[in-house]
Amino acid sequence: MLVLEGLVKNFGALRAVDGLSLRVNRGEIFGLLGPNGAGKSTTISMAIGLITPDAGSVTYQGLGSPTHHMVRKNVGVAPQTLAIYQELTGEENVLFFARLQGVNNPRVAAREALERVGLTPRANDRAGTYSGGMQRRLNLAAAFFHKPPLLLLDEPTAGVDPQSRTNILELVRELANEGAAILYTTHYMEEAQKICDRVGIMDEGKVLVTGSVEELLAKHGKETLVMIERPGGETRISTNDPLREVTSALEAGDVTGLRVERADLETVFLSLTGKRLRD
Amino acid sequence: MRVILTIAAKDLRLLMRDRTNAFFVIVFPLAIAIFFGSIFGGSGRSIPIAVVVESAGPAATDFANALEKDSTLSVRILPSRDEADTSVRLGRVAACVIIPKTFDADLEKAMAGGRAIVEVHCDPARQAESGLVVGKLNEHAMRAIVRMFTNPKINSTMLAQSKLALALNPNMTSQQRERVSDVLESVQELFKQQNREAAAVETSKTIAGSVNGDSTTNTMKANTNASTKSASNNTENGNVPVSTPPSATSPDPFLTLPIQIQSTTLASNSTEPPSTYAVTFPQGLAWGFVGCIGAFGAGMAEERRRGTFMRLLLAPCTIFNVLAGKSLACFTACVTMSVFMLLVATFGFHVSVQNLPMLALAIATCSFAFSGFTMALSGLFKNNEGSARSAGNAIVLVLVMIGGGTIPLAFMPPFLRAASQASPFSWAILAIEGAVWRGFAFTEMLAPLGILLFIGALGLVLGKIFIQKRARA
Ligand SMILES: Nc1ncnc2c1ncn2[C@@H]1O[C@H](COP(=O)(O)OP(=O)(O)OP(=O)(O)O)[C@@H](O)[C@H]1O
Ligand SMILES: [Mg+2]
Repeated sequence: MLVLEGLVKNFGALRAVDGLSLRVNRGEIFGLLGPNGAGKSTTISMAIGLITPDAGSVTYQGLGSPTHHMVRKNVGVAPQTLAIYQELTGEENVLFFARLQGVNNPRVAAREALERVGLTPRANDRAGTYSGGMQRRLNLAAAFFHKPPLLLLDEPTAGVDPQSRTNILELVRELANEGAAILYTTHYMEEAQKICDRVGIMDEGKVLVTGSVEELLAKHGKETLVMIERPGGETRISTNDPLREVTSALEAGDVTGLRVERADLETVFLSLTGKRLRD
Repeated sequence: MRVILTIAAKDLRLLMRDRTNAFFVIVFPLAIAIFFGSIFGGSGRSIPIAVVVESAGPAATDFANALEKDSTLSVRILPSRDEADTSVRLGRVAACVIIPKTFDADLEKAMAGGRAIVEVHCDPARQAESGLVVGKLNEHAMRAIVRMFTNPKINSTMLAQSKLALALNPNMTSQQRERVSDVLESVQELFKQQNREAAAVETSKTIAGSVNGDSTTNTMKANTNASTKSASNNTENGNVPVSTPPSATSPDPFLTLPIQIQSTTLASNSTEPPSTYAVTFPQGLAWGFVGCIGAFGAGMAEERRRGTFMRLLLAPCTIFNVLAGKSLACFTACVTMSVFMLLVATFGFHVSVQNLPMLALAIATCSFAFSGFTMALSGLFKNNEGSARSAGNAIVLVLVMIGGGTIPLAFMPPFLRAASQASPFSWAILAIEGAVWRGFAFTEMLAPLGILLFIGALGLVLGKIFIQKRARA
C-alpha cells in the first residue's frame, strides 16, 4: 500500500532521515519504533507530501501519485501535534473535516468516530476544555472518520491513560482488520509488541531492521528465560523454545510455580544500537 | 530579586528570538517617529485648490494671481464652476475658489456698502485643509483691499460712486448723511496723500497679520478696529459650528469689508450638503475593515502552528482552496460589518445614502480588496501567531493613517502623499464617499473600484505565493 524508498531529509546540517525504505501492506499495522529525534515524524510528513524529501520516493500503490491532492483524500493522519481547533467542539471539529472530505453522511461519520474514541459524552464541549488525553483521542478521530485505506498515526497514545490506551490499541487493530494499512509510530515497545504485525526499528534517521516482532526477537533478542519453581528451589533455563521447556517441566511434574521472562524489543534495540531506548 | 531578574532575562531572550518582535522594538518606533516628524515638522506643503475666474476685471485677475503665487496653495485654474465643483467632488482638490462675474463691479461699489464675494466650495471630508484655504483667502482678501485703497484709479471711482449712493440713500437722516459725508471727505484726503506715496504697498503685511485666523467661520468679520460686526452671515455650512455669533447691532456698511469670503460645503447635484455623520461614515467603515483584517490576518499562521493546515491539505484542499475559503470568511465579515454600520448610520444617525446600489457595489469591492489584502498579509508571517498579529496590525495602522483621512493630506510630505495613493484605504474611502455623498457617477466610480479590485486580486495572488513557499519546508 505505502512504499517509501530511500527517503532523505536534511534540516540544514542535520540529516533527520537518512535513506529510509519501508512498505506497509493492506490490513497491516507497521510500527515505526525509535527514540526521540529518530526521524519518525519527519518520515510521516514526507509520506503525506507535507514536506518534500531531498531524495527518495513515496508511492501509494493502487491509489496514484501522492502529490496529487485527490489521492491524499485516501490518507488519514493523526499528527503528533494536536491538529484540532480549540474553539470548536469535538463534534464540530470532526464534522468540519468530514465535510471537507466530502464524506457521504458527515454527521453520522463524525458521531461514529467520536463514539469509537470514547468522546461521545463530551462531543458538544469545546476541544479547548478537553484534557490532554481527550484531545489526543479527538486528534485520532479526525484521522479515521472517513475510513481511509492508509492511516498514518504519529504517537496516537501519547499522554493517554492506560484504560484509554487499551481502547485506542483495540481501535487501531479493528481499523487494520477493516483493511487499512497503518503506519504507527511510537517509542513504547509494549505497544508495538502488542499490536504491530511488523515493526521497523529506527535510529538517527535510519531503519535498522524490519520484521515481525517474533522475527526480531528471534534474531536480535536474547533467549527467553524460563524459571521453574520446585519445592527444592528455582531453576532458570535460558532457551529459544520456552514452550518446549515449560511442557517438559510440567511433564516432569512437581512444579509449584512457573515464570517466563521473554526478551522484548527493548533488548533488541539495545543489542542493535548499544543504547537504551529510553534512559 | 534573583527570580525577577531571571524572568526578565528570559522574556528579553524570547523577544529577541523572533525577528518580527525585534523589528517592533527597534525599527518600527523609528519609522513611526520619522513618519510623524515628517508630518508635523517640515515645510513646503501645499494644499491643492481649483480656482475659477469668472470676472474679467483687473481686481479679479490680481486676486487670482496672488493665490497662484502663494506657496501654501497649489492652484489649478479651471474654466468653469462645474468643472471646479467636480474636482472637489472627486477629491482631487481640497476646495475650489470662485471669483464671480460681478467681482470687479461689486468692488467698485465698495464704499457704498457693496461687497464683492469670493466663493469657496469645500470638501466636507477635508475640513482641516479647507479651513486653511479659507484662512489663506481671508489673508489675500485683506491684501487686495489694501491694494484697492491705495490704487488711485479705483479709489477715486469708488469715492464718486459712494457719494452718489449716499445722496440717493432714502433711509438716512440728513444728520447721518452729513456725518458720512464728512468721513468720505477725510477718506478722500487720506487717499490723495496716499496716492502721492507710491511705495505704500508694503502696508499690506501689517494688516494681513491682524487677520483673524479662525477661518472656519464662514463670513469674514472686520476685525481691524471695528467694534461692531456685520450680520450678513448668509452662508450655509451644516458641519462647522459658527464660532462668532452674529452681532445684534445694525449693520454698518462702512465697517464691512468690501471683499468677503463665503465658504460653503460642497453639495453635489443640488442636494443638501452631507451631514457630519455622512462624512465620517466612510472613515468609520475603514476602521471596521481594519478590525476584520486584524481578526483574519493571523489565521494562516495559527493554522500552520496547530498543524490543522496539514489536515486541510489532506482533506484534500489545495492551497488555493484554503486561501479562497479564508478570504471568503474575511469577505463575509467585511460585508456584515459594513451592513451593520450602514444600518446604525441610517437609523441611528439619519445618514441618507445618495446611491444605495452604488454603495452596495463599493462595499462589495472594498470587502474583496481587504480580504485579498488580508491573505497577502497572513502569508507574510511565520508560524508565530502573536507576532504575525502585531506585525499585521502595525502595517494596517500605518496604511489607514496615511490613506484613511486620519491625517490630512496637506500635512504630509510629498512621499507620504504618494504612499497614501497606494493605500487601499484611500481608495476604499473615496469609493464609499462617492456613493454616500459625493454623488459619483458610475464612470467616476470606475477608477477607485478598479484599483480596489486590483488590490484584492494582487493580495490573493501574493498570499498564495507566500503560503505555497512556506508550505514547502
Ligand atoms: N522543521 C525542522 N527544522 C529543523 N530540524 C527539524 C525540523 N523537524 C525535525 N527536525 C529535526 O529532525 C530530527 C528528527 O525529528 P522528528 O520529529 O522526525 O523525530 P521523531 O522521531 O518524531 O521524534 P519524537 O519521538 O520526539 O517525536 C530531530 O533531530 C529534529 O530536531
Ligand atoms: Mg515525532
